[in-house]
Amino acid sequence: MTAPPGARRWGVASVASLAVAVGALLALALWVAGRPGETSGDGAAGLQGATPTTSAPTPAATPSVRATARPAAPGASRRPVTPAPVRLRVPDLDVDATVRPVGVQDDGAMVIPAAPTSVGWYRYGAAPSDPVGHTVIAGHVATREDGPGALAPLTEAEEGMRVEVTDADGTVHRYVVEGRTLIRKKALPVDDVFARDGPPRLVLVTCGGEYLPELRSHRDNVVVTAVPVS
Amino acid sequence: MRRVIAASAATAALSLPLVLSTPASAADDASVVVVHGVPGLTVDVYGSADDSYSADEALLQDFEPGTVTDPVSLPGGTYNLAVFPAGGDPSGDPAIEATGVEVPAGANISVVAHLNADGDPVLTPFVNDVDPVAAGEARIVVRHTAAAPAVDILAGGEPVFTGLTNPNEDSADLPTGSVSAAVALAGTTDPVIGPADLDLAEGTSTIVYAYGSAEDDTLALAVQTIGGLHSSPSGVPSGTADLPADRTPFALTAIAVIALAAAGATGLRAKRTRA
Repeated sequence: MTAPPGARRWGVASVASLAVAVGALLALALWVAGRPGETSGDGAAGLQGATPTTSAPTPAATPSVRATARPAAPGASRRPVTPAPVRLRVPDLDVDATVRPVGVQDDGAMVIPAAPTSVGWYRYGAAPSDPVGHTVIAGHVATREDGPGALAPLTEAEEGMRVEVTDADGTVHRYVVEGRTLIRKKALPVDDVFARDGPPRLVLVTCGGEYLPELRSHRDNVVVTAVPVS
Repeated sequence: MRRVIAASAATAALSLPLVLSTPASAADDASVVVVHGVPGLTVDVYGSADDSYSADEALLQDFEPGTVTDPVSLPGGTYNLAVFPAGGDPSGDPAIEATGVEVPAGANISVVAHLNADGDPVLTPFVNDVDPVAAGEARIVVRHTAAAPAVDILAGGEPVFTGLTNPNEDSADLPTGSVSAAVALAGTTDPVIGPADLDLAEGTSTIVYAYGSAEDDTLALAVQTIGGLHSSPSGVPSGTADLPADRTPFALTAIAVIALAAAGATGLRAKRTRA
C-alpha cells in the first residue's frame, strides 16, 4: 500500500501542524496554571498579627509611685533619628527600586512617588531599624504617563521570597515574604497596615485587582507582608 | 512663697502615693505629669489622702524648676497635693497646696506648679487634649503660666496665638516640622522669651509652658510632649493606570488555531492527493 509522494508530504505537514497546535495549547495550559493566585501565604494574618496590641499602660514600677523628672527646656529631648530606607530589592521578582521618604497628600492618603522607578516609604511610621512597628513602602503598579511601576511584579510575590531594604547608612535589612493578599481599597485596614506598634514587619503595598477606568484607579490594594530575618 | 494656695475642689488634679499600690484597672487610670515652673525653688512634692503630709508620701524629691516628670499612672479619685521646699519638713506649711482635687479616671492631666499673674505660686491642673491628630500633623499647645501680662505667641516671627493670659491655653494642629517659637507681650513682636526651635513630631502634642516672672527677668519655656496621637493615612493610591495586558494567552491561542487550521487543510490535501 503505497501512497503517492505528494500525499505523504501533505500528511507529514498535517501531523506537524497538529503537533504545533497541541504544543501551543499545552503552553497555554501551563501559562494558566502558572499565573499567581490572588493571595499567597498568610498575608492578612501577617497584618493582624501586628495589630497594635492595646497594651495596658504599664503601672508605675514601684508601689509608691515616684516620678522621675527631666529637663523641659526646648530641644532638651531630641528624638533619636533612625536612618531612612533608600533601596528596595526583591531579587526573585527583579524589583530594584529607589526608596524616597513620603508623607500624606491633602486628602490624607499616602503620597506615592510619581517616578516609575521610585517607591515611597511612609516616613511617619517605623523605619527598618526600629524595634517595633511596620515599615510601609508603597509604589505605583502603573501610571498613565510611564506604564508599569517598580512594584508591578508584586502581584507575583510568593511566600518565602527574599526582600532586602537598604538604609541610608548602608545597613541591609533582610526579610522573607510572609504572605500576599488582595484587599478592597475601601476596606484597607489602614491601622493594621500602618501599625506603629507590635512586631517589626515590612509591608509593601501597590494596586491590583480590577482596573476601574472611570476612577483611574484599581479596585484593590496588593499588600505583601515580610518578616525580618537575621 | 510661704503662702498656702488651695486649689478649688472642682478643679481636676493630682496625686498621692498612698492609693497607688494596687491600681484597680490600668485602663481607667489617669496619666499625670507634673511640671515645675516656679523659678528659683527646688521642691519636694507630696501627695496625701488627708490634710497632713508625711515623709513616706513624697512623690517627687529635689524637683527642679524647668523640669517635667514622666507620666505617672494614677487611679481616678480625689487627691491632695503639697509642694515643700526641697528637704523641708512635710508637717509644716506647704509652699503650695492643692486639696480635694479630682483626678478623673482615664484623663490625661498636667499639673503645673507656677506663678500666677501676680507672682504668687499656684498649682494649676490642665486636662490635655489627647484626641488623635490627622496623619502628617502635630498638635501645639501653648500655656501661659508666667507672672506676666497677656502675651502673643510668635511662630517664625508672626503672631499665631494672641492675647493669651495666665493661666490659660491655646492650641492648633499644624503640619509636622520645626517651628521657631517666641513669646512677646500682646500686640508686640519683640520676643520676651525665645525664639526657640520646637520640633513638632508627627502624631504628638507639644505643650509649651511660658513660666517665670517678667519682673524678676526669669521668663523661660518648658516643653512637655505627649506621643501616640497619630492617625493612619486614609489609603494607598498606588496606581493610576492599568498594567499593560499580558498578551501571552492570545498569542498561544492564535498559534493553536492557525496550526489546527493548517493541520486540517494539509490533511484534506493529503487525502485528496491519495485518492
